Amino acid sequence: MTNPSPVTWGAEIQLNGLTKRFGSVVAVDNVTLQIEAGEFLTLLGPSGSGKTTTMRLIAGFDVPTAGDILMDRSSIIPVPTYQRNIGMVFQNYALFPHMTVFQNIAFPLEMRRVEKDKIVSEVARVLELVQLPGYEKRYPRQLSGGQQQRIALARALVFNPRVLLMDEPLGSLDRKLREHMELEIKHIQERLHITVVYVTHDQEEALVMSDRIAVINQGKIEQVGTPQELYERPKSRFVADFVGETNLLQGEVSELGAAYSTIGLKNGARIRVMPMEGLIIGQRVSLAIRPATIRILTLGEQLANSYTGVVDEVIYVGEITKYRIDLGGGESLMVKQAGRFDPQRCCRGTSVTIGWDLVDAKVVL
Amino acid sequence: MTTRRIRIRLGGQGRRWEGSLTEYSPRQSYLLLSPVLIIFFIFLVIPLLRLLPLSTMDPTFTLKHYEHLIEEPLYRDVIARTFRVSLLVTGIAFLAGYPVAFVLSKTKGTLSNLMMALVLFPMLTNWLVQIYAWLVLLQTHGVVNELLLRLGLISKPLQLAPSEPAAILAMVVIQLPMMILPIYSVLRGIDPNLVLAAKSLGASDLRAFLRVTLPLSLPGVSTGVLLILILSLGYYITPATLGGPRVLMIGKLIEQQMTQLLNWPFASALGVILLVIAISLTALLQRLLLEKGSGELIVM
Repeated sequence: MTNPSPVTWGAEIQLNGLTKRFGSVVAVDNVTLQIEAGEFLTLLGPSGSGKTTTMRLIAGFDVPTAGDILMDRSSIIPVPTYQRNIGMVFQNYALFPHMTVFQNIAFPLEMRRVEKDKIVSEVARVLELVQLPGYEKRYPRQLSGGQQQRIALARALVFNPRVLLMDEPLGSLDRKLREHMELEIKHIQERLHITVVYVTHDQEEALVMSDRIAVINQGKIEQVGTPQELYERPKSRFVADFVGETNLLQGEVSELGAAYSTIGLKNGARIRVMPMEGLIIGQRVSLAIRPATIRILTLGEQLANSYTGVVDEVIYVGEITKYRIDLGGGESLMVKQAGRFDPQRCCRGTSVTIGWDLVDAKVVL
Repeated sequence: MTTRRIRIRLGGQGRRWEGSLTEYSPRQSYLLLSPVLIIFFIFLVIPLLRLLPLSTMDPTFTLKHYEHLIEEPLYRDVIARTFRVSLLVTGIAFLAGYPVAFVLSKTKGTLSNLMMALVLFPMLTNWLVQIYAWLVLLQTHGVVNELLLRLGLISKPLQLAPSEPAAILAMVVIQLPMMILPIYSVLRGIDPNLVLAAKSLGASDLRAFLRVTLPLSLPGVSTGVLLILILSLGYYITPATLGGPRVLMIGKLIEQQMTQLLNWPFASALGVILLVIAISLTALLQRLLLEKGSGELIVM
């Protein structure tokens, strides 16, 4: 049974003022979010931010304190979990240990009273999809973590749900496998045209897989946007810090101008930024500068912002080398440089000049 | 003999302290168990083995006691009754105990402690005292009958005890904690995500229970069932007191033959039969209930 294409199979989900309270703790705080049909949306946030609680509300494991959840424009709150037709992959996979792989995957089909022959062919189909054909007779305990995860995914997909929920499924896999699975999951989602709501604290997963990311912190959504939007135009300190690496400097607005504005740091340095609306002289702001946008300048190079500093730390990560540059007065910046390790720029104590373009220092509030 | 790993769980009380699951190889397991095994051997196995010569050498090798046992309808009845009562007690204890274990496994905090205390209550009082308490409650001029008479609900006292149902009731109540605790222990260890996963896949509460929770709780169920079944087979004071002379079970028969009739060879033959029944039942149940699961015997 192939999915009816070309129209998207996935359902549209709407969260309206969704709130969940546990006693005095507000885990999900008035969350309103629109998830498009067939979209891969990630709920990104640190532990305890409410992302898993939100997912559990969508799945129906908990009842919201207030607000509504709509699937294709109709509320699913009165619908019990087993009738919501939503596939779910758990963090610890939750494969039934007393059943074989075949029985695990056949389970949702048995619940829907599909005929025996159909079940066999469908199970084979999804096993092909996750690239584990022939694994029917194994038991979960005989599988590796990555294999278990793929079986869990197969089980959640076999009954052709229109929405797939994934709760940090890649957390316990090693890096290489994780990177491989990120792409595999993305490809499967694209093939099946289903809506995926993905929960993770790993911003790299979010950036790689998502069509859009909703950054959630302490129960509230801080920003929703495409990976590029979140990375390049973070709206708050939290988002800037959480999505991708960033340097955060504190300063005060000292000058406003047409071509640029100036922010003064505690150590006396003055940083030029793009003109921005709503800034007042003396206003305290934070500056977010991505380490990859800072360059170590050669003699004579000039950029809108250049400063001298001393190399405090060198971190070699193979393709990238990171430097911490001490600018004096308690301020320091992380700089990321790709390419071959340059002994000239290396070593602690070396004096260097770093710089970045006007547009690369962003004011966040 | 198949090399079966014996996992010995240290501490299984739900999630309050995640007991460490230590797995020992068969060799280490037997080494660890050797003090107990030695004591068992000296004080249990050898005396039991002595039953064989006792029952067959009278004075030379003869099977007449066993023949006597099989031929007399009285004795066949006793064995059948012992079986029947034991199975009934086990069955009722399971039906009564599983829901309690289930509910208990889902509660937390004060309520959980309170319920647990209630479950363990029967274990606090000496069982002999409990038997007589039941007698006081159920006998012809006992509490229940007097109450019903005074309330005018009956005109003549009911024959509640001694009777077989009374014996069964007491046996169930006394052994109920031993059914509840192993099941509770296993239920607590089941990953709650499994039931949630089943629901997300389309299983209603009932179907999720039948297809996921119940099968996974079988190790606890089999421990409870095994314990109670084997123990019930040997019960004789409780059925004798609360059941009266008409509810004769094999334990009482052995006692009679030994102490009153001084017919040790016959009593030994009965003992051997009891032992054989107990061992075969254990083996059968282990086959049925443990093979399906992960092959572990959960010790609380």
